[in-house]
Amino acid sequence: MSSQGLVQRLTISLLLLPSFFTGFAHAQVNIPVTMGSAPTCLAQMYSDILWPNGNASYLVYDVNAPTNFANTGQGILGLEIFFEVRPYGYENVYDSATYGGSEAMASVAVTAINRSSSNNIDMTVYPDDPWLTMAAKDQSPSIWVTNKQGTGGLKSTFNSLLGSILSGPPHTQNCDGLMYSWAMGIASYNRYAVPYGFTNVSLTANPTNIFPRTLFFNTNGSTPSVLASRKPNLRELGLANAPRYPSGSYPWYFWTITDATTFGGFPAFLQ
Amino acid sequence: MLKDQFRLFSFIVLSLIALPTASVAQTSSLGSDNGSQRNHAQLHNSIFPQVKIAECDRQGTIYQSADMSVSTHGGDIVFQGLDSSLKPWIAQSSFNGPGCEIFQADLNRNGKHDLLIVTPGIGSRGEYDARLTVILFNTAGKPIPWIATGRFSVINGEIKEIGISLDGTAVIQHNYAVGHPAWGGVSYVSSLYRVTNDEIVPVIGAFSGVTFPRISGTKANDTAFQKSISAMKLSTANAGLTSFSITQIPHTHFVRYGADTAKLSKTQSGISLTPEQGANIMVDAGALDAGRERIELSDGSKLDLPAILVVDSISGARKIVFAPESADLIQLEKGSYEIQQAGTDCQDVDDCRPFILQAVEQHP
Repeated sequence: MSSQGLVQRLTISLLLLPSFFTGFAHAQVNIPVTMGSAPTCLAQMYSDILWPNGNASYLVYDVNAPTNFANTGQGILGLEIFFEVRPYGYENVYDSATYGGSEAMASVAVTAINRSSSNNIDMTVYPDDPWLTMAAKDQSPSIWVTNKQGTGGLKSTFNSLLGSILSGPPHTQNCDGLMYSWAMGIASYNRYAVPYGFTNVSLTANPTNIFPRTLFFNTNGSTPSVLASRKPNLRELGLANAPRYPSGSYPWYFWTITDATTFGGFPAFLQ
Repeated sequence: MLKDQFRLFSFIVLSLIALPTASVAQTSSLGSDNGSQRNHAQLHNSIFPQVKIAECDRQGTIYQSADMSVSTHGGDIVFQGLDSSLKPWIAQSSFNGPGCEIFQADLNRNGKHDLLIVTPGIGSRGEYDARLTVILFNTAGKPIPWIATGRFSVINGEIKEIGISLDGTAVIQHNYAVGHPAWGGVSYVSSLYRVTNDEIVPVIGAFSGVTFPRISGTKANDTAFQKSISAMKLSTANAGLTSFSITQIPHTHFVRYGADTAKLSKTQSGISLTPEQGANIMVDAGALDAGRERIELSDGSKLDLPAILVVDSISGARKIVFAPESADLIQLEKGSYEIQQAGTDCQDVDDCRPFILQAVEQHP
């Protein structure tokens, strides 16, 4: 981008270009495929995620498959988990506090689901499609380009990261972590996020478990940004530790707000 | 005068010490820092006087005065009124967060009530994702837009990041976070903006004993990071204030880069690969940005969508769109406009866009 922080004075005359801005869909996350000369993480994506039974000899080359998957609810949720938490290759222990990374990852996924099923955590009523992906993007504006249509892609920094990781070698910490995140995105979506059928997600269930009630998270521990009148309704739920690359850990803090309600108008959270 | 200096100094110091404790150990400023910090003042005395006029707590008209109205429509908020020449203006924004609070204050001391809108963020960055929108009115009553995302707090009915300068006009403290904890860490930046009759412009260097911008956190001493921070200028300078020569250049148009990028030919052929080929596929870096929306101007330059779009029509009307989307630019296809950019908004070290894109309609 050519913005240099200086005032640019430009004179233009616009041509009429009917339907220029409309009439086509474009990928929110684009993963264009080409040929390389060495095994890559992208090939691991095919075998681990796109073809879960993973037998490369049956692999049909569809260059659209990574992009198509990345733009599903599961794919967006996986990218959200990965870029927010960046785990690196822990085994699939979903709800265990033993694995701090998994705990933080699960909270990110469930937060998006909880937000999309509550009607006054923010003033947006998410549409049927893409209800979850919009909530996931809105909660992480430092990662996603956010807009009213929910069509924003990854911000350039993370878009480049995704490309470099997928083009890099397989079975690195980043590649394994990305695959694990996508697997968790699929699991989270399928377990909790049947659109508007939250029979398996009880926002009031398991009050001792922080995940079902999480509506805010951050890593600096500061109070979530809400209107002053709602601040008394914030409840701190606890914290988890995510592994820091290449070593150590860092904390994740979780909150809920007791005046949130579900789409049915019911109180979402225990007081 | 000494009292005013003390109040301004207190405002700056108390705003700076509000930065995260963990990041205080590493702090740097861009430019020479010949100031010192003290902590013995009353914050209440240094906040610029403000009056809260409305909240985004219902649909329809939420505020009405003789020269201005505010209304909400879903998640959109619309401000409209007349300038001193009775030319209409309209400003469109959104409160995609949990509501908003609207204040009035005469930030530039010109007798016009300026508007300040605080929108709590819905992102997960703690207190650093609130948004402050300012609609400043100059002596002609023309609205001048400004917006920033960061730490903006309402305490006792006032936005505490709005302070008082020595001449009685307002200064805006913009504290914001850059980076990500999982990818290189987070740094915190504190910038200061001065409000004049016609402009909101950044303070670069020493101001009342403190040097701006200031950086703390993981990259406080990273010269490359410091350089990138210096590119961030939420400046309204020249937005609607200057008359400039017009040189019509034909064949200029808006395009969305990469949106129609042809897929690889392999896609159409639908060939199957051998296991060896399938193991060696990689991302086409050249096409990675496909789908990203940009604007191409007459000189061939390419810009990302701006933070704010200002459209001045021949009739004298002004339309302001905060966070415009491509659909908001469609109207520019229907006429001839002179375009200029004011300021640069950097959401990350390598992710900058125009702060204001102003389109001034020209006679055909």
